Amino acid sequence: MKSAGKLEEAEDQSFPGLNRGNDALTHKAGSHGHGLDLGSMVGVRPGDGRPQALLNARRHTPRLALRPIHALIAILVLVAALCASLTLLVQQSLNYAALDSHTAASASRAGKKERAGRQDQQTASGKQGQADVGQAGGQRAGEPSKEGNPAGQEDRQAGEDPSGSQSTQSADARIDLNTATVDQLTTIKGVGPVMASRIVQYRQRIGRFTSVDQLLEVDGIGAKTLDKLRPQTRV
Amino acid sequence: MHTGTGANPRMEAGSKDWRMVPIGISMWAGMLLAHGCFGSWTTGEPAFTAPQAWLILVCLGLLVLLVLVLSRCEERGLPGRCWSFCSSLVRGLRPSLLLMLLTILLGALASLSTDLMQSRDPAMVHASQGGASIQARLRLTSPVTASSMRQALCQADGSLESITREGRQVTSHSPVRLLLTDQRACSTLLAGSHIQLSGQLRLAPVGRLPLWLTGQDGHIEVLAQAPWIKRVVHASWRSFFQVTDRLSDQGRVLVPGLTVGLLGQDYLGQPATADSEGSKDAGKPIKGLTESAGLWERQPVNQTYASMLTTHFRQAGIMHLMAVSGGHFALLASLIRRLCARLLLPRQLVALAVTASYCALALMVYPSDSVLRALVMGLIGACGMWRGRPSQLVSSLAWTSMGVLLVNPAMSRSYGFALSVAAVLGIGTMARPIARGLSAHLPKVLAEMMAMTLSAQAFTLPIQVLMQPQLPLLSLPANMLVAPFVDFSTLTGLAALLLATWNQTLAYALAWLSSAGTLVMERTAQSLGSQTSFLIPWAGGAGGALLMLLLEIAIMASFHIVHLLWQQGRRRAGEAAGLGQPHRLTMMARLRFWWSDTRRIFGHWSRPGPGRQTQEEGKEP
Repeated sequence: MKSAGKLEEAEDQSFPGLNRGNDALTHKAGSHGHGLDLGSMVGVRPGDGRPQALLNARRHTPRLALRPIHALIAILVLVAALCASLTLLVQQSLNYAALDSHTAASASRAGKKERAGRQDQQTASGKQGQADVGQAGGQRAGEPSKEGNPAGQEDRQAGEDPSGSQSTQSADARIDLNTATVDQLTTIKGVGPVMASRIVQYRQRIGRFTSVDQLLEVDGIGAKTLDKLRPQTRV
Repeated sequence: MHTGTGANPRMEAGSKDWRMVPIGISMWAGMLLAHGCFGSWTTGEPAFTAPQAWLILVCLGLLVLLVLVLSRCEERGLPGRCWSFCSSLVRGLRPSLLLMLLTILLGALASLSTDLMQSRDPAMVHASQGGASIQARLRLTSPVTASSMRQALCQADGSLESITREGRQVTSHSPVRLLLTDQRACSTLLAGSHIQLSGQLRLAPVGRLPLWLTGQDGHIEVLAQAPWIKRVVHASWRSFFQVTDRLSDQGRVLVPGLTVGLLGQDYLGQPATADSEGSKDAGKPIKGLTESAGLWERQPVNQTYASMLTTHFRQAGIMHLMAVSGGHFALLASLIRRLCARLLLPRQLVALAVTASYCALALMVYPSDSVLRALVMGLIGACGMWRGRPSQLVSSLAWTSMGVLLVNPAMSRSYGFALSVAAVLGIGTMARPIARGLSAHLPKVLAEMMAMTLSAQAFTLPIQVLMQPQLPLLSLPANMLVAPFVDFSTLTGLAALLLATWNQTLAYALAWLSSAGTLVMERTAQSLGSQTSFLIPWAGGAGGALLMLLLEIAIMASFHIVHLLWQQGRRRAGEAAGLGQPHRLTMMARLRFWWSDTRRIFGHWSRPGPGRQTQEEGKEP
């Protein structure tokens, strides 16, 4: 009897619905005549057979709501990604501004030198004209001054832009066509003073070299000469 | 611990983490809104037409409603008062709603910044002013393919580095489409090359890229060759196309399309050799593919057949098969995982193997927006695998789209990216419930195929209507007919691509097997795609997309209402709602019983007269 009672207690603990189910079976069968809830008689743990437990076992609702901490983490991650993207854009815009100001400054310097060169030429030609009026060999007297003027212009250019001479010699020892003076250009093998001056004049006309191949546009430089100059020059 | 929404947290499935989906959609909507407003500010025209504005507002409104409805309380009945339920719901969802608002602002800011920078780009300014010819330096970002324009022989996408106009060199970062007529350039330029050329820059009339650069005849200087990996890929493509050129016409077109995302007629190949007829005109600029038929090493594909095939595929609703999609990556990952499982490798090695295979596949195929989406999403999944976390398809998709959009806001206007994201979202959210419902009436394999097609189509139809105002009604049967052959053809095609460089005979055998699968696709497209009576014309543009969206919502709502009524009926009948799976006969079983009953009934009627009937009765016990 005691063992039977203990057995009942054990059954009641492990299958709480069992004995109640039996009572329920009796009760329901007697009163309503309907079927039993089998869920109350199955399971291992005390709460297994209950409808709520079975409901909880079927988790099917998607997670849509964010907790504040998760929302904060998501905000931080997204803002970091946006900052990284905007940083690249800002860098691009700074590059645009720097390059545009550099090219504008180069163009304005080239324009000033060209105007100064023209003024010097006009002044020199005026002096030459006065000398010609006085002397019969005016042409011979003009030639050295004409030849002297480009050299004078380049000296002036060297004086105005002393940093150019420092920047022409880069680490790779090639001459920068955009900043070299006539004297520096004459150090290139295959380039004499006349060709150097032509290169400088062409540079003043176009603003700056964008490619070594543009040397083909200079009078006196052909494909073979360009091949010789290419390893010694850069843009 | 409760989320505060009123929903029982024990009912939330951790494998269904959809929290970032509304956030991602909000960011996308914010970017589109900002782009529209910027366009309006620069051009002076209205930002949106009425249908476009309504579409965006309806989408945002539905999104908020969806978040509220799907987070409803799952407990039986509502708590005490409806007002307390609503207030607790709103309180609990406050972080989500706040985050949605913030991501709209973030997206708008990113889009506005990019649009502003692009409008100030020197190349854009020069093109909008209709400037003279320029000298441009750019880097090619895609392989060179046959041009769809009559004025050019080939085309490639690139990114400008600088342009030189009137002797001044200025930096530019604008993406550009390069159109060339020089045959040698078309055959030698590779993706990743740095080139310098002269050409005419103009605003793009169509397409996602803002500028077109038409190269002028003359010198195209290659400043830097493509990286070695791109050269290896180019060599393997060349071998692969040599193999596929030996197949039938449909194989020549479809096998490369299914494998690398480039249709056979779009690949140019190498120039013709010196002893061929085409070499006489090798140096001359050629306009149009028809004139260039004799210039190339490979025999060109019949253009009429190719264009008709493309049209049939589009009308049948299986156009997505002609491009590389996430399915390729998923298939490859599945193979890698099974192989690693056989070898009992740790998950970290599996993650590394999956990552390496994804990167290799992305390099080997034609770069597109859907490939980018699949690659980023796959890498996120591989990171989760490394950490031992279960895969979350929808969550990783949301983070992928947000990351890509923040880095490149122009992707918000990419149809390819939108279709790819929408299809995966549909499959991730609806495929399983639909498959579960259909498997009660159909075989499981059939139910899964149909579920995947229906769920993907449901989310992509509004976007397809934006591109083309017609509905392919036969899309579902077409997809189901070709579905069993897609994986097989893809795998054999990829194997042929890998082996083509070393063993062309084996590669040809594999390519032939792939073409056997593509033959089914071709026949399906021809038979179903040529039925123009099943193509329903639909309203185009944003109005058509809005109409399609509302129609789909109405259909889904009606299904849901019917389901709720049916569940209510079950409760009234005494069944425990939601407990277990009801056991009922499937449709096939019902049909079987009906047939046997019908045969028995009619067999009883067809019995002879009373004599025989007496005999029959005598036989009965």
